Amino acid sequence: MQIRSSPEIADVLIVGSGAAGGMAAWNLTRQGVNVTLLDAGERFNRARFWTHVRPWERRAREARGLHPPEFYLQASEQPVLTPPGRPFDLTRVWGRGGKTNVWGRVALRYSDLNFHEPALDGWEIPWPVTYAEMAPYYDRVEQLIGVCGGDDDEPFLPGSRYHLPPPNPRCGEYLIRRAAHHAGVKIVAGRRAVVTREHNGHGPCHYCGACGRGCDIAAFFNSSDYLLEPALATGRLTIVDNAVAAEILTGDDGLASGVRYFGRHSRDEHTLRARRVVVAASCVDSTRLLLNSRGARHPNGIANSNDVIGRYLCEQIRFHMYGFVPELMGGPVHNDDGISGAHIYMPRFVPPGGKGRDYLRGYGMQFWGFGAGAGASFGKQLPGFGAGLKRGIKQRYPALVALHPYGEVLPRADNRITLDPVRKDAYGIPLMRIDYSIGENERRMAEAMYTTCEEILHAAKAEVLPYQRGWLDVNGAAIHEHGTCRMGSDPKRSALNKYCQAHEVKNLFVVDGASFPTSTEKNPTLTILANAWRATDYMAAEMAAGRV
Amino acid sequence: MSTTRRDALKVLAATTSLPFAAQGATEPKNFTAEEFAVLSRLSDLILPRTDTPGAVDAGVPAILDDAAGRSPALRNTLREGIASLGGAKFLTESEASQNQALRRISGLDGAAPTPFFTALKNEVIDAYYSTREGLVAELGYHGNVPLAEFPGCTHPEHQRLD
Repeated sequence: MQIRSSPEIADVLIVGSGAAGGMAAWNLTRQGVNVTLLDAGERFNRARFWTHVRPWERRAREARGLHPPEFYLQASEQPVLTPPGRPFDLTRVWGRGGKTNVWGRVALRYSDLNFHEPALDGWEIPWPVTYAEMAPYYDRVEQLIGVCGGDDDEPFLPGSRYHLPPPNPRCGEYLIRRAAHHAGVKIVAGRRAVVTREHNGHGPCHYCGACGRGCDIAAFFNSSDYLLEPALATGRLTIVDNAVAAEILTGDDGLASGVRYFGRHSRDEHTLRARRVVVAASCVDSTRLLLNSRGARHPNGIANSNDVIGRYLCEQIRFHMYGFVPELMGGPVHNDDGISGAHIYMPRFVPPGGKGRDYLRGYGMQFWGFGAGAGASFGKQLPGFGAGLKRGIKQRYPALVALHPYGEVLPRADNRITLDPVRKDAYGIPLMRIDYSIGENERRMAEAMYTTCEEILHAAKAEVLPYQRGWLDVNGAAIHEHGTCRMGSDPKRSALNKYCQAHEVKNLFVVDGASFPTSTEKNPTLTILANAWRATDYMAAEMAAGRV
Repeated sequence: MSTTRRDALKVLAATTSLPFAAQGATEPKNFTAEEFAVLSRLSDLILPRTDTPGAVDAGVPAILDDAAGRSPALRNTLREGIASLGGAKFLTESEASQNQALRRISGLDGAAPTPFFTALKNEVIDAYYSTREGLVAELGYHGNVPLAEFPGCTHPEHQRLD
């Protein structure tokens, strides 16, 4: 195989184009920096999305051999190894914009309570940043991408002056909000990166409810349209498509000197030299890249002499409870699509006086899937068959409510990503192993999560679909991986400083979710964007000062 | 903007109850003709025609045939289950007797539903409520269309907090 080496030296080489890589590219190019970005896929053709293809039309199209663009990386192309009986359901999108093409769009601010909680409870390390440092970046991100939401301001969910108008809740959402109120649980307006009115040339949303198939008009934030295209327009961004990064190269001085990568389809090997490297390939793939970068000065992987990288993988536990509210049973069927997913949100629930709280950290709750959807799979859980079953499904169809709590998983050193010593992918890059399990704290928290759901559904007088207390979704299902290349003020216990700069390699930055010391109970993308903006502001200033 | 239920029923009137071949499809690909006939009957027993189309009206058996082609495990479960009900002989039984046979494996009589019943019911539900007949004519779904505004809940009685 031929190795092609580019004679040029990139000012900054970014690996990955999702929320983190897109933000890094956008923020650096607008400050005059020349950037080369490696993306493992290519741009998804928005004109070919099946956004408005209804289920029966989809089947007819598929029968004719048609398919929409495939967003998700198939496990057969990049297997992930896990121990027997401990699966980790990893979701990856290789292609411009990454997972932001199909993300859930929940856009929540973290609070000082999130950042400082580890210092208070003593479990692992706190974030090296404060809300005061993050807040201006949250403000800027929300103004840039457009986030709809309410005017609420909660201890665990700081308010914002920049929200676009929130969509009106559906009937069931109002009824659940009332039930939660009776149960002593506060529900607020959802916060979602959906432009409910024209914003910076994007949108507005037309409420077709099919965001999960990709938006045909880009009315919700995706990194490709909102960040990469403006960055390309500066003339300072070069994107190398279908470039699978294998290794960060280092020089005799131990600094990053470039990246070795493979053509995804050609399998040709390339090297690209760079003065600075920004890693933003998503938590798990970034970690694999860092661990596989074992130069002479970095036998344990680049910037990893303290053996922190790959450890402390933390995600979120979650489950789903469904019910039917009596006010809507047998009633009229509305178009409940809205902005697809919840228009309401439950911020971190803290029982009054901490009553019954026998776990660290906490949980929030989402409520997607209310009312009339494009299917009735809940019918499988109703008993029997025949005209009675058919009638029962129809009666319940407009009355469906769905509770989806998300709980923080504590970071633990033994929950880790490693490279398999033997097995390799098609390019010869070692496959990764994910060894991850939850512990007693999460099991106790799950009990409390079930209790909260039961209390809300009970207060709603809902008919609840059968469930098994304690059941949790497969690990990885929340798609919120963090912790494996964490920031921290103590270089012995962290890989990055507070600006996502590697303690040991000053021209290496890791700006995606891997840098988060904790998973929190929240959806991370807004914070990934704000943090990557903050980190690359620092990086640009350090470059201007000649220090990096 | 959306198809009304009456419109949908009018369209469907032309296609209801036609046998498999008459609906433009060819032979079943993953079942014998006899098995497919039993599968069709079972689909209709699970979601029958009422004042709206039933499973066969909606083309569910052909969708199950395709699903069985994608999943050998599903195909085996369905074929074995059909055999356990007596195969083609099942079709000669009275409706009451057919319902009784289905009831025995459905879990309604106390025992757990059999894997065959569960697989069949799940597939029929997924298939039926993904068709225009099941989603639009039966349930009244009218989503996945562009709207200028999203009204959401318009009922003050739902919006009270207390």
